[in-house]
Amino acid sequence: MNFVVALPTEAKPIVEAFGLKKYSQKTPFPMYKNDLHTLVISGVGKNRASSATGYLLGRNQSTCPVFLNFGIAGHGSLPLGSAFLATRIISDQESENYYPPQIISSRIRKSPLCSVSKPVTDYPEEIGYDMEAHAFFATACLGTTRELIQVFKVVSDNPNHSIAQIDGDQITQLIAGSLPDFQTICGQLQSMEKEINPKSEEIEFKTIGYSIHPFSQTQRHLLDRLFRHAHSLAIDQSIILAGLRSGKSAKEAIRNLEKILEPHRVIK
Amino acid sequence: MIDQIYFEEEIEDHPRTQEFFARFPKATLTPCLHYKEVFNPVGQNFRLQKQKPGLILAKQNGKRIQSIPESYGIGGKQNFYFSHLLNCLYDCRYCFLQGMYPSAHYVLFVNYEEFWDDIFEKTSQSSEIPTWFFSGYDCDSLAMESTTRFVEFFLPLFAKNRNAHLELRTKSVNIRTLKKYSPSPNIVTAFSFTPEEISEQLENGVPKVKSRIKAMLELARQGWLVGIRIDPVIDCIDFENRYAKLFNQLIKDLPLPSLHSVSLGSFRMPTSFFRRIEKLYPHEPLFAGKLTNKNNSTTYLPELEHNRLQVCKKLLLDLLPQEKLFLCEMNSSSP
Ligand code: SF4
Repeated sequence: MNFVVALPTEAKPIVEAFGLKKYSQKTPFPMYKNDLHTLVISGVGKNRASSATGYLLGRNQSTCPVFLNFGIAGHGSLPLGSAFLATRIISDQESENYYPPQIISSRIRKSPLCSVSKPVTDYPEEIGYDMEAHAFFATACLGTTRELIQVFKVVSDNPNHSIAQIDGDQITQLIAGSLPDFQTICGQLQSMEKEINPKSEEIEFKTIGYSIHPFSQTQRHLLDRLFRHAHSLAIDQSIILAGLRSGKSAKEAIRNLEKILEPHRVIK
Repeated sequence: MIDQIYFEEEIEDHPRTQEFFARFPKATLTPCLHYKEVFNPVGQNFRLQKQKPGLILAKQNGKRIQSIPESYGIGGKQNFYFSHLLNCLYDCRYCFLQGMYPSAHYVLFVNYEEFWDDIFEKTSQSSEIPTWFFSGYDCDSLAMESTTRFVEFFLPLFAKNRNAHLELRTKSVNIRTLKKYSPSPNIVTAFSFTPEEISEQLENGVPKVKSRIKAMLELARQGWLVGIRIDPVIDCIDFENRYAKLFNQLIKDLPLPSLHSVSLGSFRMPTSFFRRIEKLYPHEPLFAGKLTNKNNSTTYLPELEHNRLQVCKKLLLDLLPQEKLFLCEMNSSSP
């Protein structure tokens, strides 16, 4: 999963909870990692959020990765410390609106969110206010499916508590207080990511299959389809590989595979 | 369970919108400028959204009534379809909606009155020829009745306008609203079926075949006209026995005068939809069947298709008169 946060004080509880380590090589943004997750600290504002998200997208290996933006936000009506998932993300500068699909099952609050170019102090509407989410979403949706892009915010200021009253430690505490919700979101997003991305065993199997003959690019596409069908029809991998190996050429190997599949192509 | 409602700002005060807000007090309400802002963007995953679709309340300002070819019809000369709802409560793996729509959210057009005005106008234009209106092209006509109250609104109107014929197409057993009214000869409730073994594999969330037959018989016994839709016909092992068993189950207790029509259609959909669905469910055995791409349409291989349809046709003609049987050529959704 990929996390984009604006401030180090927001990142701290997540870095600790997930055991992320500072990435030692030089990167354009401070970055923390473990085997499963990468977190970048973008800095404040839309340009930084967009660049950091783009940077993470560029590094990504997965077809449909998870992108989560979290941090503090102002809110027109929610009390301090309440956490919410953004349902609609608007901007004071852009006309496009985003609606992250609400597919997470939880009791976490939901709220519209407006990304502004300057901090808001008068909270004109009963919605959230931040400075990054819109740019984050706009960039992330270029590289992954919208269900896996979510924005999770914790209220740090509202009409009764100005942002000027909050210091770095308090920000860290607010984020730490919403860790259980954060983990719920991550857990569900992670299983959705698994559901729609190819399994590593399949990728390995494909690599083995490709290596048997010098298949052209077109033939590889054909093979991919046949491998998929073989999997759907529950044909054992050893039978598939034997079929490919018994062909004297790439063409013959594909023909063999088609013959193996043919009698099974019917619903049980 | 609907826990996310989007609504077009323009229709926030529409009485039907307000009724929804009142009926789902726990739902999160999110305004949007136009339903397409939520429904249409590229880069959505239908499969993931299907796990928890939201409801979008919108107004259909575009063309509300679309004509369809005579070949899709069930004997009528003038055929139209209209969609008050996009997407379906159920999740049939062969359904073309998964390939046609970028999103699995339900879009409900709340301006029922304007749909009716258009239907009325179409009917008045040709008052001598009966005009057919099909409501189950982009959704199941009854499955979401408790949410949409679509039948509740349209049924009395059609009942009063006998020249306008309505087909409600469904896999639901939600016949409560229909049962409240006296049967109308211009309204047909058409139930779609595949054999039980296929239904269990491919029709997720759909009531069991037996329960659907029971619902159909209940309506027929009350005097309603019913239809049977064997669409899509799915190639499977033990094909003839399975379909023969299904047809016998369907017809044996049905009073024949209540049977309006039976239609047959093979599995088929535009290839661009098929490719999208295949990507969503790469390990679905249905998609590894003996399929081919013919004129940008994905269908069974011609010989297989012909054979399967002929088998069904023969089995059905042993049970009912020829004039009740129709061949259908639209896409495979058919609730
Ligand atoms: S085939 Fe019909 S019942 Fe099944 S999901 Fe599609 S519209 Fe719904």
